[in-house]
Amino acid sequence: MSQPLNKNVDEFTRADWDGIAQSPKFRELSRRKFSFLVGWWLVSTIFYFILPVAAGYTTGQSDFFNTQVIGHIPLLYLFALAQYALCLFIAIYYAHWARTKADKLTVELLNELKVK
Amino acid sequence: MKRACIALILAVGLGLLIDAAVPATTFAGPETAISNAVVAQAAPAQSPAWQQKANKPLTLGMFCVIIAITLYIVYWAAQRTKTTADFYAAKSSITGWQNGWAIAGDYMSAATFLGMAGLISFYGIDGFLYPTGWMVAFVTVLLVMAEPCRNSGKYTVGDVLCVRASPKPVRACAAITTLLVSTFYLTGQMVGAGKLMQLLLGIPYFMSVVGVGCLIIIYVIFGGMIATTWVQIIKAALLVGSGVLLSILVIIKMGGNPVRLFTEVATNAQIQDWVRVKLLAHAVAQPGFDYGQRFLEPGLFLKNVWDQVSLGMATCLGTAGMPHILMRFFTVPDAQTARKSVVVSMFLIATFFILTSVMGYGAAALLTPQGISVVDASGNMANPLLARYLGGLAHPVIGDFLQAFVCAVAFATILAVVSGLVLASSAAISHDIYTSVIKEGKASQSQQVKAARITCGVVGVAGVVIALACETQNVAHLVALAFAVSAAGVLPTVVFSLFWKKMSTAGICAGLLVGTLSGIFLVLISPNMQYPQLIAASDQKIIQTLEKKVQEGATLTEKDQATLNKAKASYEKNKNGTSMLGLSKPLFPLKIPAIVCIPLGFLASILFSLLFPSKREEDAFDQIYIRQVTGIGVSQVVGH
Repeated sequence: MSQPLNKNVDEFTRADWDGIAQSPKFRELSRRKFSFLVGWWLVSTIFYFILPVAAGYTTGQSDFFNTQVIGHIPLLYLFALAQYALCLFIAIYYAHWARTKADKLTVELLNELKVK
Repeated sequence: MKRACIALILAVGLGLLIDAAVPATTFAGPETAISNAVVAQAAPAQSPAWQQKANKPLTLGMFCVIIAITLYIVYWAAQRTKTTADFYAAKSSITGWQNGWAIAGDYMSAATFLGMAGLISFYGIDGFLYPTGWMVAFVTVLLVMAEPCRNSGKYTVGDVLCVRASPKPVRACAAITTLLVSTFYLTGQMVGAGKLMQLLLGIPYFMSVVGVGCLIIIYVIFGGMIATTWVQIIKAALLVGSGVLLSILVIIKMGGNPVRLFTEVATNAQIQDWVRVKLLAHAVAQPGFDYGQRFLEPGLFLKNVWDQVSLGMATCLGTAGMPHILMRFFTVPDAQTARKSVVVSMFLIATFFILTSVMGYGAAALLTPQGISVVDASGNMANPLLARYLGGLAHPVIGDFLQAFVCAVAFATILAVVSGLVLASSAAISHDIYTSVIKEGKASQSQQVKAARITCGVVGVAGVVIALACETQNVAHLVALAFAVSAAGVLPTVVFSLFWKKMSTAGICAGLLVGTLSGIFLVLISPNMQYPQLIAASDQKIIQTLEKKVQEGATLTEKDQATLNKAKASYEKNKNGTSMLGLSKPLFPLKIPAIVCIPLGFLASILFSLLFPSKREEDAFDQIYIRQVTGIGVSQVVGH
């Protein structure tokens, strides 16, 4: 439980900021936010860079990414579309996660601190 | 004062230098590479209706409607623009939905609307890889940039960077990088705008650039961020609307079956010819090779895997550092709204980018690449022509109308994107350099707004002058350079300032300058530049071939003789020449520097922060980090 500060942000002292930084609630918020952001950022970035590499190394007509999946549509086009799908999934999931987890923790923290 | 002036002159000078140094080259932006492709086969004797000139009165009328609507918005916004908070950030009162549309409007340039569809209609799927990178970029914007920037900045990138660093050097460096990125991007847009007007309406280049420049200066000076936001919202609605409309018409034409679109492309005899003769230069068809299917496969435009990856890095990481995109997050009241606006914009952008592939393939299947290149070898006309063709199926007048509409949307797009860029550059000069460095924060509101308006005018005029000087230059790779520099300079410094305790003033300045300058330097020694000795070598080949012909007793045709004379003259001129930096051939093999300059920017930031640490800045980290994560005191930051 953080100490209520009962004052305006401009009046916070160094010790006040240190106190918040050490408080379990803030540490939980910052840890969860950081691991969510870094984790999903890495997922999308790594998934994305497969695309230019795959496109660069796909040269022959019988190569894997040139496989015709539906009618004449090649796998590479569907893989590019999958990039859009992943981006939109991350957008929705992050919005949901932030609203239900991060924002809630933030509000709890600010209520405990009683910032004016 | 003196230092700031020097910094400013240096920034502008460098921008001009790069612009002037960029000759017509063999690279590789979407627009130009197409124009390098061999122009189409002879036009059919009777060209179809959709290839004929656009209906000028109708198109001009549409343009006037767009201008009238936007000027009314400016008039309305001007009465609401009194303080710097109004001018730069629309009082931070834009809602999430509005800002989402505005981000989409700010981001999707005429190059995406016209250039990408054209690229797909000429080269197939390679054209679709560009927008995919630009889309994935928004994950970085959403997760890393949007909320922390909202919580720690006010109007500019400089604000975010100097929350705990020494303001003067950091703001000066941030302003230089912002100005360079904006100048590169702006030049690409303005030159594109001038050429587009010329193509669409036959208005001379000079007139169109000056006209577009004047309109934008009026928008930004009088309407500030409020008018810019609404211009961007309207433009995004028009753009997404026209994309949806054209795509639906293409799919209807395909009997309502999207898969058939791909079948039509792969089995189109004209496209098969195009791939075999123009793209792969196979004089005789190779047995068993499916030339139609080849059009749906990669490698027709981007041929080198490292160029692919480097381009991917520039597009995917550069967006998150673009000053005009970051600036949009200061227009909303809090981090939650910033987050919502990015999610909204991601859906709009994804919809539109996916539809570019439908429009591009649709144009290829229905009009054929040859047919499009008869009208314009750059491919930029693919969408307007497609609109004319699809509308014309119902009635010729509807075709004219639809084409005029699509042209007007392209026009609105240019206006919206350039306004955002001019506003971002003007904020860098007047807010970062004038108010904070020169006046040390002691300028009154009215002085600041006045300075902002004057710099908008100056930036606008500079943009017009540069665009006029670059009429005959190849500017497409300037856009790629803008993304590379923003990824190498802005991204590492902002991310480290927000998340890394040890980041110091030295690290920020080093990251910005090393990222920016290495990007520019690598372009100067890359194949984008002109290398006279390489030109001389290819001239020599022509001369040898033709002279061998003469020795063998053949007489040269008039055309061959002219070619020979031209090659000889060009050889004499170029044989001892060197590139601008005195090189006989490129030292750096890639056209896009991102793959080298981004790691350099990150390394410089880390190295200089560790070499020159600052106890004061490390101590301030907790406070800044708490503010950034929780949004404590955002109202105070805004209220200043």
